[in-house]
Amino acid sequence: MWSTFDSGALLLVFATVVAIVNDHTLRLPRPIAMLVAALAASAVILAVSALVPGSNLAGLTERRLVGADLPDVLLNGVLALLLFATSLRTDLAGLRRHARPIFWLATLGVAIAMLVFGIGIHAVLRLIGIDIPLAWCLVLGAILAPTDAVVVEQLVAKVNLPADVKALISGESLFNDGAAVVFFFAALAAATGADTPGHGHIVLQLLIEGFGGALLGFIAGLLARQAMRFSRDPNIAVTISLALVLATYRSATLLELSGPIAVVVAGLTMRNWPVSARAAAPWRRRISQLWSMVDELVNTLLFLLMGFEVLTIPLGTTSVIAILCAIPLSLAARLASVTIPLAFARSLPRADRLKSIGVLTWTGLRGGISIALVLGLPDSPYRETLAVICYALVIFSVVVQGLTTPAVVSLIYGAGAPGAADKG
Amino acid sequence: MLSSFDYGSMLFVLATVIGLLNERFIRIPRPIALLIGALAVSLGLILLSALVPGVHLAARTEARLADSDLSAVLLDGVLALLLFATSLGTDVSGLRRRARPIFLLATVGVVLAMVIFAFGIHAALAFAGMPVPLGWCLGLGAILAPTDAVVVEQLLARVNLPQEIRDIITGESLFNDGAAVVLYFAALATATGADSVVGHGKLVGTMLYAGGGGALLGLATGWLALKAMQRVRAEHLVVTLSLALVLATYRIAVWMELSGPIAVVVSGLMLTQFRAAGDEAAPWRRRIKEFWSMIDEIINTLLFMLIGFEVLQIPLGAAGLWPVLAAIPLALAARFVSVAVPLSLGRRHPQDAAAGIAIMTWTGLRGGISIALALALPQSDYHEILTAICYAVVIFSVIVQGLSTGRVARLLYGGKH
Repeated sequence: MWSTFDSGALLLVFATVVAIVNDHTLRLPRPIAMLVAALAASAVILAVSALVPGSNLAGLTERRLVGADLPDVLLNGVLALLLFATSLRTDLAGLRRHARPIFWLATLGVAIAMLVFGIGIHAVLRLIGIDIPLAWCLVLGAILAPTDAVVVEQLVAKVNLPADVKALISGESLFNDGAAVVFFFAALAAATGADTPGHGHIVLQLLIEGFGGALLGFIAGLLARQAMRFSRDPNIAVTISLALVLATYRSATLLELSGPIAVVVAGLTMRNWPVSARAAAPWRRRISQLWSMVDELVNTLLFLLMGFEVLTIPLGTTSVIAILCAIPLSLAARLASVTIPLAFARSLPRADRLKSIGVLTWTGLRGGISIALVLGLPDSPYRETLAVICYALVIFSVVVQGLTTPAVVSLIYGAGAPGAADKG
Repeated sequence: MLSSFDYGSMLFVLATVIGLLNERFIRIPRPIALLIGALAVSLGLILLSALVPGVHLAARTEARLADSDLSAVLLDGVLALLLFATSLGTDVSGLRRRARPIFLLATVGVVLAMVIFAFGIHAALAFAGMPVPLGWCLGLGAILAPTDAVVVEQLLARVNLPQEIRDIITGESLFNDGAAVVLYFAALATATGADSVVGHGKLVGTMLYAGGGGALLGLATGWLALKAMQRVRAEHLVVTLSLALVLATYRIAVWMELSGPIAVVVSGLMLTQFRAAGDEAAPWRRRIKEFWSMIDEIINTLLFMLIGFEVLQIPLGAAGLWPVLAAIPLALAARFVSVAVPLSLGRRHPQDAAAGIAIMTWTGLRGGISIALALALPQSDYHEILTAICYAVVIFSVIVQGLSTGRVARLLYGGKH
């Protein structure tokens, strides 16, 4: 009898081995190492089952690891846990200097990325004979709009960039998840025809969901904070923070508000309210420990799974063409979504803007959130195509863009520019 | 539709409220407070559905619990995590000094507790007019033999006992799970007639094979993990690595038909207690303890609340009441014998023996593993009465014995030692 625990054990052992080997040889950022290793393992598995007749290794792995239909709990849960963990690491006071460009990047930028990519991919797919309704293409656009806070953070830590640009990059990656998730659900509602919204209707719904969710999160965060101060036992803090995440997310869903936004705001409120409070209460330390570990673990597993998802992709010529077209398209969408909001960034000197646009475009790695969203897509005739494109783009951005970022940065800023060479 | 996610969130909110109230007003060990809180909520649900017509809260909660296939999750995964977490907090040098009594308690003691309780409850049930075959009674005896390492640990932190007794109690609670699980499956095999050739010799052989093999496996995986840990510079890897260690060790043990609980405990001891020179203060040691103390916290919070809610599943007719009541003193008596015999075997000077035996009898709290094993009982005519007895003994031991341990310790040892 094969249980989920067996798959978990296998994945974790694999992750450990990869992490240790990586630590001693290549020293890649860890999420990238996970993804590359899982891809390599998938390739080996595919080769073995192709060469050795009768050993259907690929089918077996697929059924056991990937197709072992990740239970609903995981899909719902992972997203909430990931977002909460990210929001807890955010220090609002540190972001305030760049509040404006970050705000625009995380709202307007996400909308632009979604629209440009959605419409573009709709046209491209139609050209090569795959007809997917525009609404579904917009869903995919929303899925691929947010950059991944965890990978981006690890990436930025290893290259030498001006502090301003670093703050922009990590601030954006923290906040664009919320907007993207709202857009995702709105587009999904339109695509599945759950309700046939007009444009006005969508905007209104977005506002209600977003602000309602934020309000709910704010109240829940304040409550949790009071509860923590009420207690002297740092162990209860662990229980409280779990209760906060799960209860906030579920009540938001129940009230038809945006769960992701509610969770993010709850985490921000609990950590940052009032903004001046920087007390080193023991519960703060305990909670940030717990959640940084959760973050670490969930991301490790997500990136591994992503690598193994390759096994499920049925690769035909049409999908290869679609993928090849999608890659430059998503870079173009990213470029547009960065350029327009950065026009508002007065905190950056004009001469630097072009450079930062270049860097921001190239460091827009997609990751955990995109995968979690695409795994949660409801069944439809288009699900497979959309998933294939999504995986390909995520993998391309993490592997190719991620690995070349140091080179690109030194190209843009000149080898010695803001400081010494990049030594990880 | 409510998903298991919803129930998780409700449980955590409830646990928060109970935890805060307890810390402010009542101040008893948290697992006990959670259990009492969950019991109170269950009673409230039952009363509400009885008094308000048309409200079937109790039935709905019960159906939900029955659906969730808790036994599989508990036995397959949660148990391994819990035992590992407990073993990380253990002081191994203390265990080594008391290796003999601990070994005897975790083997001979468990067998004695199982056999005495089984024969007693068999007689009591026959007397009450609801005979249950001896095989099933032995299964129940095995379920109720192991003490719960986690509650016992929290309990000991609050009372003043001689170090020797403390070490023995902790060590016993860590290791008796292994023997109990082996006996449980053996008893089930005879009860369900799966294989009827379980002779005494074969049983002992299986116990030794499963226990010794499990310990060896744990040593090997723990050593591997230790070597890996010493080579890694990124300290956050401890989380992935230790989780991999636990799950993989447990699954391999189960797969090779060794004792998973023992393998996991030994691997945890190996990983944290074996110190190479100059490695004592490595940051990962602190980090790993922090992480697992949190896992411990979370799982126990959930487990003890679930124990409280499982009450909803017990259909308590008047007929079943007498055997259930008889089971409580019977469990205490079985515990007494199972402690007294190994301790007098393992000891050279019997001056303090009486007090030691008494305190060990009283601190023998049952907990998570008993509940998990009872939930995993296969369906049969006797399922209801057996689980009812199991819950009664567990709940009595946690609440009554747990809350009075401080007083009993003071009575036996005076104000100090």
